[in-house]
Parts: sequence; C-alpha cells; structure tokens
Amino acid sequence: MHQSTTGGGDGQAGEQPAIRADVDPGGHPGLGSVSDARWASILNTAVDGIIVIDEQARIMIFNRACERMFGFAAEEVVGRNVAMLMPPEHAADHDAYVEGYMRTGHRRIIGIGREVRARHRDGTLFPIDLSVGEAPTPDGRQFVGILRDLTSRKDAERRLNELQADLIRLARVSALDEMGSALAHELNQPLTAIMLYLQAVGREFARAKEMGHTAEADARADAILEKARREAHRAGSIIQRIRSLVEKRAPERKEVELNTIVDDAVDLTIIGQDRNVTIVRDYQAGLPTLRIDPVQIQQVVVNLVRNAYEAVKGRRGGRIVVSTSQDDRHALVAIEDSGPGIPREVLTDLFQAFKTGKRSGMGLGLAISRTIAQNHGGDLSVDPGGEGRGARFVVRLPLRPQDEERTEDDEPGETRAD
Amino acid sequence: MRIHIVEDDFGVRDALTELVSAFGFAARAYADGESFLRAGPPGPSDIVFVDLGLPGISGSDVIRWLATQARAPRVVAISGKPRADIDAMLRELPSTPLLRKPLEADAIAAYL
Repeated sequence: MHQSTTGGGDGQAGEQPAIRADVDPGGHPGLGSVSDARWASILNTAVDGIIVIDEQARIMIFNRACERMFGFAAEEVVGRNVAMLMPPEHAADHDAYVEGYMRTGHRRIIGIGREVRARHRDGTLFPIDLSVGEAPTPDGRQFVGILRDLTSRKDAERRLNELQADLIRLARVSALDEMGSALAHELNQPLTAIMLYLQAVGREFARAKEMGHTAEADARADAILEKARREAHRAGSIIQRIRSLVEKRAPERKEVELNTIVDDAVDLTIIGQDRNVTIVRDYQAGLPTLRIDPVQIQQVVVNLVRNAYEAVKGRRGGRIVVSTSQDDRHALVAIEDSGPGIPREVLTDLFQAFKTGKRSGMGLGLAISRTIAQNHGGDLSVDPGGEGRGARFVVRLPLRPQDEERTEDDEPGETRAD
Repeated sequence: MRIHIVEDDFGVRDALTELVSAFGFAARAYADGESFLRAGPPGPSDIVFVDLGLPGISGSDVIRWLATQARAPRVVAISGKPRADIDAMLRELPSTPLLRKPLEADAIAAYL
C-alpha cells in the first residue's frame, strides 16, 4: 500500500491486517488512494456491515461486521462473487442485474436501499437492511453496500409483540385472580340458594307422600323449583361474563354500543367489592356505535374501576363516577373517584409497566390499558386531582377508526426485483 | 321458637326461608342488620342465622349486639368469604358456630 500503516493515531491500526481491501486479487487498488490504516480502522470498527464489489460483482472489501453477520472470514470471500451471500433465488440473477445496470443504468437497488434477505455461511437466511452506493474509480465502477442486520431488531419486535399480547392476557388473568375470591363468594350465593331450594322441595315431596298430593302443595313445589332455576341461571350468567373476559382470543373489532359494554364491565367489577362505595353511572345517551374490541375496552374499564375502588378504600363516603360522553372526534369514558388523588411523584411513572406503583399493582394495568386505548387509535389520560379531589382517568376512543385498515396500505408498493 | 335470617343476598335469604318453613318452623327474614335491630331482640329460644358480610352494620356487630342481650338467642354465623377473612372476623367475637357457603341443608337442620 502507498502509505505506512503505522502511526495511524490509534495503536490498533497497525495490528489490523484485516483491511481486506489490500487482499486484492484482481489487481484492483482497493478503494484507490484512501485504503490506508485509517480506512481499515473505520471499516472494521463500523457497526454496519460494509461490502465493496467491483463491476464483475466480485467482493473487494468485507469488513469485520460482515464477518460476524455472515460467518465468513474476509479471506474466504474476497475475490468471489457477491452472489454467494444472497438467497439462491436472487443469487442466480444477480450477475444479470449488475450487467443490466451497467448497460442501461436502470436502478433496482442502487441509491434506494431496502430490506432484503442475506445468506449466512450455514445457509440460513436473515433479514438485512441494504443500501448500495456507487463509486466511480479509475478502474471502473465500484459498488459499496452498507448492511444492517435486522435479525435482532425483528426478533425484538416480534418478542415485543408477543410480550404485549401476553401482558394483556396476563393482566386479564391476574385481574381475575384477584377477583377470584370475590367471584367464589358471588357464585356461592346462587349455589347455596339452589341447594336449599332443592332441599325445601324435597321436604315438600316427603310431606306430600305422607299426606297425599294437594294442588296447593304442588303449586308450592313448582314455585320453589322455579326459584331454584332462577338462581341456577344467575350462577350461569356470572360464569359467562367471566369467561368472556379471560378466554384467550384474537383481538376482534366490531360495532358496539359503548354504554352497553361499559355498563357490563362496571357490573362485573363491583362484584364482591365494598358495597358502601357509591357507584354513579352517568352515560350520555345517543352516542354513535364504535368499532372497537369490546373485550379489551371492557378490560380497561374493569381496570380503572378496580383502581378507583382501591383509591377510595377505607375512606368515608367513597364514590366512583363512571361516565361516557363525546367530543368532536372521540367518545370518552371517564372514571372518577373520591380518593386522595395521585401524588405528583407517582404521576410521572404512572403508566410505566414495571415501575412499582404506590398503589398496588396499578402500573401494569394502567400501562396495558393505555396500550389498548392507543391500539384503538385513542389514548388514556389522567387528571391526578389532589387537594380534596380524586383522580379522573379518561379513555378516548376515535368515533371513526382511522388506524385499523391503514397499516397494510402504509407499505409502498415494493418492487421485487433485486 | 322462631328462626331469624339476616342475609342480604335475596336468593340465599329466600331459599333459607323456604327451607326453614319446609321443616315446619316460623321464619323471619331481614335484608340487613339495621332492619333486624329495628325489629327488636329475638326471644331466648329463637335461633338467628347471621351472614357475616352484611352491608352497613356488619354481621359481627349484629352478633356482638345479640351477645349483650340478657337472654340471648342461639346464633349461627354464615359466610361465603375466604377462610382468612372469616377467622379475622370471628376472632373478635364470642364463640359462635360458623357455616360456610355453599350451605348444606343438613347443616342448617342440625341447628333447628
């Protein structure tokens, strides 16, 4: 090389023969005059993969990041056709692309950059973000590819999505877990009634056996049986409501009346709660139907009402107001309690999933509730209250869904021709 | 002898009343502690079934009040609450038999 590789300012440079540019089988002078130790250092400390090929698609430079990404040492690939790093279906056509470009100037990837798949040494394919630039040199054109491995990012995205789905479900389950004893109690009531009614009917029959049937005794037995049926029905509907909340299911949006689902959720939440707390339901009549996932939105309401119960716990005259309303673009569900309000120092982390909330377990539920609201194109906000006022949480849901269909159209029509 | 039932859940209250009647006893039912107290003290030979989880005046308060009567009736506590909650409530009370929900008719009958 033209210049000394020592004294490059960082002591490493001298020990880095790995400037693969100087392994230059075709007699090409690497990247021209700049291929010195400094270049080597830059290339090899770059986080992104860097590959330089010549007009024949032969690899000239293959930096450290590429070695890690592909599992090849630079010496193994330099001088070979870059197609070896591509999935087979593209590898076969790549030479023709390059040649076509040289002839016609028609760009498929140069100057554009896009997500493509690359082939690891072991044959597995992995996603990379590839941008390609072109550099004219005295020895002909060279193409510089900058590669970013998307595997970990994709993995992270996927894990995040899975985690989020799990969390949403988990919150549902843990809400149920906490509600468990309350529900056992609630189911106990109709079961007790049924058992006692049946015993009472048994007694009536025993008596009828001894003393003979009378129309009056039969009517009495019928009436009791009817009451037992009513209680069985009550037990069944409790179970049904719970089931709709806990069963794992794909999110599903449909047109629903907000007031109806909010009211159902409130009914469910107050089961087993302190009955000395006053629940006020103030629903605006005539709200348009919303296209939402009713179970998820109910989950949010259950969460917020449960939090409100926590907030008024042990306070005299506990009061929770659940209201619905609308502004020009949103339907609103507000849950306001008569508790002490939310202290400033808690407020900043209130919606963070893993900050331990001052109020028991509130953080996770609120983080998920906000996620759900945002997934619907809405939001969850809070007026923390304080100084005699309780907290007021407001769920905003768009009257017209703008986000649901859009995700697919967001992707510009991709030209599949690399 | 009269059977008093202090229970806020309509189904349980009504079913207990039906059962006790089917056994041939006179029953009186109250939806809360307040209405039971207003009705005046029961007779010494009466039996009072008290749900521990009443709204307003609690079941424990009703039982304590009954214990202060000169000629106190027999008292049976009933509850569907978790064991720990029940124990906490009973600890502060004069020794009182307890029936957990769901109730068995035989268990009720044993006190009649």
